[in-house]
Amino acid sequence: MKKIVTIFSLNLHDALDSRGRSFVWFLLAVINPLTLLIFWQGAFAEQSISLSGWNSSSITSYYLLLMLTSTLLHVHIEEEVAEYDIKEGKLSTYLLKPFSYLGFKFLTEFPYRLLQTSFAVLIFIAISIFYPRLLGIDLTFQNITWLIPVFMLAYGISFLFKMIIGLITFWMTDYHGLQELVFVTLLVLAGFVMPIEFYPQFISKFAYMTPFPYMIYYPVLVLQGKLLPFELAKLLLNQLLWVSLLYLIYRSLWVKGIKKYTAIGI
Amino acid sequence: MKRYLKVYRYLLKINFAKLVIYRTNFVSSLVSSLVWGIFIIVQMLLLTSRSTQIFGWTKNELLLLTGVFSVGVGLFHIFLTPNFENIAALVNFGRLDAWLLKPIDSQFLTSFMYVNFGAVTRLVAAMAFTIYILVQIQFKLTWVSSGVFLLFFGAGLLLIYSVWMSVVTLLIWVPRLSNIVEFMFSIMGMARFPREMFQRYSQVVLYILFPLTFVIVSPTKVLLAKATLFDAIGLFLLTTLFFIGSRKFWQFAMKYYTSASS
Repeated sequence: MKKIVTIFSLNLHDALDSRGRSFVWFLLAVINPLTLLIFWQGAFAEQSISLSGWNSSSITSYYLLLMLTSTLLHVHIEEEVAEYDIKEGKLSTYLLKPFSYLGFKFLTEFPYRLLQTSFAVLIFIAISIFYPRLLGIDLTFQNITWLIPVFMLAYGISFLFKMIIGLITFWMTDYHGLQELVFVTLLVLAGFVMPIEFYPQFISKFAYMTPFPYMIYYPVLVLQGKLLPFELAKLLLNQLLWVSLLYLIYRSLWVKGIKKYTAIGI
Repeated sequence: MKRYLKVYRYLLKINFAKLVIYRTNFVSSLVSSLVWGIFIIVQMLLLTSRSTQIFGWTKNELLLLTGVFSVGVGLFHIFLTPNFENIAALVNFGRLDAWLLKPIDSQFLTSFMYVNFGAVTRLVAAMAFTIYILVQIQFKLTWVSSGVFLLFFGAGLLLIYSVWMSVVTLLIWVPRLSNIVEFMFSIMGMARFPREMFQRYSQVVLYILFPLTFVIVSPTKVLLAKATLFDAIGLFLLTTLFFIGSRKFWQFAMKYYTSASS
């Protein structure tokens, strides 16, 4: 336990040290949903688009909560794994340490996510003082008890998925193309463009078959209190399945990759 | 001027040689730039999939706006993006000194040193999409309309360059915020939406983004034969102001640059 706390606090120091940069990363995550929010507000106001079951305030809350949720749940560990650890050979130092690489990376990334989320939370508290109804979070006790496991599993899916993307570098010379492809796919299929239920059917059907909606889209819907109890149970089950599946993939890639890994001169 | 053109020709050659050396890297950037190009188009298709007209723009007009934006961004990523990323890194690591010592204008060299041919896929995809939409809206190509469009489009690119340059120049005082370059990509993305959208949301937002709302919107309106005097004067006035401003700002900032070792 002490080990964990030490690694966590070391990384938290790093995160706080670069808070200026971190704030810019936060702004970066916010701009696109904000633009789309402006788009929808206008579209609803002039009634040029109608989405069944949604209105101007629920779509506003969707994008605001999307920003909040993605600062916490959109993990960005893949670049570190691919560039520094595998390409530049820093992985060797981890292999010699007496704890798992996966756990170590988890503790590296989590402080950054917390810092980013705290920016978001501060801004959202400020917003909700002036416009209490804007956020539209369902804060009933029952919803919160669902929320916690859903968020934990969503983080697990997001983290494991990004770790897998990072590990693919074992087999690739330049992985930036793949990284961008993954990022864009995630933007579309995790619900960053708009609620997935309003995509043309063939895209939404496809999206539900991938792990992406379970990372960010569903947690936002749960925050909004849009899901019924049986849907929530089904969601948790699906998330559990994805976490297990991704973990198995991660393990097998790790075992194979580590045999292929070479570092020179470190 | 002639000397600078000659220098740029050499720079293009050097960059092409680099492309041939780092082939995997080139293929990788071909992929990523294509992926982003497609994403921007798909996003607009999704957003407009449930309506025919938004903010006084028909669906096809909005798609044309996206197409022109993508062509602009394609060019931007080929000729300018790698340079802005480079300036941020140079300032952050205190390596700009070596560049300032070269017997050539420092803004020219830092702005045009690198060319990323990998972004060409995005440009090609964007041009194909734009032409497709132009055919859809039965655009009549004439010498005058294409000439005026190119003039507006060029001014738009110069405007966005000047805005970027001013922001990047700020890094001289806050070198650590080098990721502001990434941030600017997101801001630039707002240029693919109509001005009316920001106006409807809030006048303040419109004023903050004011220059951006001319970069792509004005040339697109030329294609649609809907450009007003306001679009034209706004674009050319802002371009002139920002270009001169960014130039002066860079020269001013150079007095304050401190490298890592000094």
